[in-house]
Amino acid sequence: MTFGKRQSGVGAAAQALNADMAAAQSQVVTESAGAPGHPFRWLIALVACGVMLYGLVTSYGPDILRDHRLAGTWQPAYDLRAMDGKCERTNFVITFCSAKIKSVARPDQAPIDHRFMMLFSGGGGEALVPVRSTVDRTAVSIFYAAETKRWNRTLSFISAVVILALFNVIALLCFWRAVN
Amino acid sequence: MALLKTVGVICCIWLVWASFQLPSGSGDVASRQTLSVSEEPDRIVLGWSGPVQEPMSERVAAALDRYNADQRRLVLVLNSPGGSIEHGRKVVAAIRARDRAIDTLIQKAGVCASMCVPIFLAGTERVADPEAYFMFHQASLSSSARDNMKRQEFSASENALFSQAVKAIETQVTDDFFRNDIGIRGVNMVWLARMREKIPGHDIWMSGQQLVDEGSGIVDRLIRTPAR
Repeated sequence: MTFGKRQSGVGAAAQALNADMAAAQSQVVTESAGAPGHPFRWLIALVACGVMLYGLVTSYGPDILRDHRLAGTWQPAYDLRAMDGKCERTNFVITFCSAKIKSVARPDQAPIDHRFMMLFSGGGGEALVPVRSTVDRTAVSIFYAAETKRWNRTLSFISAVVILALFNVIALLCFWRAVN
Repeated sequence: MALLKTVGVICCIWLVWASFQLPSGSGDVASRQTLSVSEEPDRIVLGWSGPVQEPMSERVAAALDRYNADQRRLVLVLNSPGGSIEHGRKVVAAIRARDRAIDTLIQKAGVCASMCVPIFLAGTERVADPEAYFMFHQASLSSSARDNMKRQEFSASENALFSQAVKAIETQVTDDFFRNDIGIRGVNMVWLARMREKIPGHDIWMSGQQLVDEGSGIVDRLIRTPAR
């Protein structure tokens, strides 16, 4: 019973390929459908997906919302300088970028960490120009992220949230089934 | 046919992917010049953001002309890293040529650096947020002028002489700049002389509050501009 999930997959495939074996396999399928795994496994999966979803939303969500609210109001912040900018691309699909924004007018101030995520674009060779909103003078960003890639970041964020939320729902359903 | 479809799909995916790899050109934003106009019941606010270079004087002059007959106060809000001394003088002349009061303002976290300072000083009333930033430094030859000079083939001794000459020119231009462009109405000459001594090889950043505290005479009045 502990490997019931694997039996279920094999059984289902065989059923599709060979109709004669359907009766023989049906018992296995029925058994494994009722026991998708130990509930504790699904609980761990549920918590892990939940934590990832929470981390994603709290890390990238507020910045994206703010950038949409302040769209079109950014102007170069000549007192700031972007340093240590880097982008890491995974499988040519998703790119995580980070940079530090430091004040040259007040070098005693701690640099601001700026992170963003986008799909498909690599970000290589792009100039990191620090900008500040004319509407909210406390809002600081990188022009490339705030304006050029605003919609890319938004869609990337929504896609990642939807995928993680889907995993969460699946884990929750499996946990529920395993418990009952 | 199936192969053709597959190749077509792959090409489409590749084209979409490749379109994401094109450079965005977002680096140009630092040198972009914008002039915004905001009409308020009691004043007209002209907001300049960008370097002091062509066509700033023409754009500012055109905006000032447009509101010349308007009875409301004119305020020029500056956010600039500085730029050409020659062009900055044209902007100052354009402001002074108008037969009316034009105030200048640097907002919270706004920057008025280098050649922007004389433009700020051209205002009838010079107002800044305590957290506005001003920067003073030595004049230098533009990068294009330096590149042109470097293209000439000189010997090592000629290069040394050339460097000395460039340094002497820059010092002279800076002295002239401090005396004629910054050392004007209301600016404290003792403070200015101290600043002139500090700047060789350094960019000196000062907030609006610091300038007032030091009695520089650069800022007439401090006001808290809204942060949001």
